Amino acid sequence: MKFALPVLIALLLALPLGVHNQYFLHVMIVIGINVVMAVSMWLLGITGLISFGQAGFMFIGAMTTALLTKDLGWPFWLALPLSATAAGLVSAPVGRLSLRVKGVYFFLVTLAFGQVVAGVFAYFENPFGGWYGIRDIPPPQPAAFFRTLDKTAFYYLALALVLVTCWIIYRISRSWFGMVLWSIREGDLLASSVGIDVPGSKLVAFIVSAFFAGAAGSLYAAYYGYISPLVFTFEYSVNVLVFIVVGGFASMAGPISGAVVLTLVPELFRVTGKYQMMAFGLILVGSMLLMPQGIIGAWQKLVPPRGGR
Amino acid sequence: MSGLVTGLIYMLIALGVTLLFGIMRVVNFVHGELVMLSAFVIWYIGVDRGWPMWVAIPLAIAMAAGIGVLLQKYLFKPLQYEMLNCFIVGIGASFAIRSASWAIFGPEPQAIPAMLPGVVKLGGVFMAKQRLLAAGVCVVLAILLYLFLHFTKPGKAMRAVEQDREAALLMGIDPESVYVTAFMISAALAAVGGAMLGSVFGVDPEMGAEPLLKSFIIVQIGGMGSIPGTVLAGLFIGVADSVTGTLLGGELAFIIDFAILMLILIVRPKGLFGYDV
Repeated sequence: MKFALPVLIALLLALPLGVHNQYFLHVMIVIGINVVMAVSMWLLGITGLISFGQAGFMFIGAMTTALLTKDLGWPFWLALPLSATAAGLVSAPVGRLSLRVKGVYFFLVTLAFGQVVAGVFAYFENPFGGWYGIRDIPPPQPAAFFRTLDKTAFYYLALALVLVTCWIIYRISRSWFGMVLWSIREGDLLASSVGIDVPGSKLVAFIVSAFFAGAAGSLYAAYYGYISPLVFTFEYSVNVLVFIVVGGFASMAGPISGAVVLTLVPELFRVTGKYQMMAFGLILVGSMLLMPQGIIGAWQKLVPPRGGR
Repeated sequence: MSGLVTGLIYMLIALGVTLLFGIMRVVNFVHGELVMLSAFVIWYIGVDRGWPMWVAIPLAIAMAAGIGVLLQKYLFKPLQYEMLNCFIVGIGASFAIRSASWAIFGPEPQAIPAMLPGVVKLGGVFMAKQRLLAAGVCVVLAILLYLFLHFTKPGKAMRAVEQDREAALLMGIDPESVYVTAFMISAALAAVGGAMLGSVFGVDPEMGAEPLLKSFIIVQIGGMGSIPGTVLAGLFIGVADSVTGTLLGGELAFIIDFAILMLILIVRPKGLFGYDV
């Protein structure tokens, strides 16, 4: 078991040497983006809050990258950290306000926030491209490596982002600050009574989670070369939540395995778009109702029962 | 004026959301799909089959109430009305229903003909009679709901359960049966909302999504679980929407609503008439 993780990483690093199937690499890159999103949502999820605006922060990151690299001609390597920072900067005031409310109220506010981000980008055709979105976003430099037909370089980029994100968020969740987040989930009144800054800690988790969502969006923009309001929807946020719910909340392995499995399954069956949402809905309902003891059981033990009533 | 009518319809839909939240702390994400499904039932019976409207609408209301009971029995009761789990399950069920209706009904928007055709001149403005009818129905139903909750025995039982579930239980009120009634009323309100919305804007599988989001905003501004708050916030949002719609174009209306919501959250996080959860 001790060697499982290094072996897995070595296998992932060596994968493009053995596999030249471009479609397979594409699926791996999509999985990578989904894993980053799932892990970033999970960090805030530790406190018992789900941000349904994650797709909005991803959109902000993607839009920043698109504008910086296409309109201003900046290199992608500068745009990536700037995009993540932009998402983090927007998240600070949003989080400051929306974290004033708890539970379901918070869900509804972040949900509305995600819709507003898409709405703003869709409303202003200049410079955001309106509903048509932005196409021809340049790939990272050197462009000779990041080609459409050979996805190896993109694969390593996605893998690097996944590893960095997972490592940082794992360290955070295991740090003293991570323990604070877990304690807020157990009972925020109790946590604040022993001197923990509950709103401040939630806010930091919210900003970090938006930061990585922005980074995932930046990678998305550079990889697909095309972004539009129809991609970063509330539905996508819910998909990410389904990854976590199906994978389990108790440890970081949950969101990662959920994202991997639930990205692979539709790809294997190649379900069309409209039935894909149906499948996701049924998986969500089924896993909540049928597996309360299984993967979800671990989560329910952690969520304080019945909203403090 | 037409913004006010839309606001009233959204208010009616929001009343169903706030009723369930007040009584059992459940945010019913399937509510929008109930609106959509009942509009489709009315279209199918009343237009496709050609039966009269006064048959179609009660049938749709009965169907919605039935679905409401099924939801209560098979989704929310097994989860013991736990807030977060119910919210997540509701999203899943809502997505499944919505994409199933895409498959069944297709993306073509359908129209429900007006029950009262023609226009009427009101102080220099022409109004479709259908819109006035919709507004009237919404106002009457809101008043009826208020009267029901305050002056009838089952209504008083509901408010008792809302205030203190255990104490109500000790007074001989069965919370489960109150929950069933609440779900039926809430679903019936959604069905009437669907009838009004369908006759004013047409019927399609996505029609439940926007009213649901709007009613979340309305309920949150008015304060979760408060009927006067919901009515006030519904009217307010309706007027705000029609003003921004004429000044800036309809697409910005939602952003303005969100700005209002944010403002309310700064000033009064529990909404105008709400209480802490």
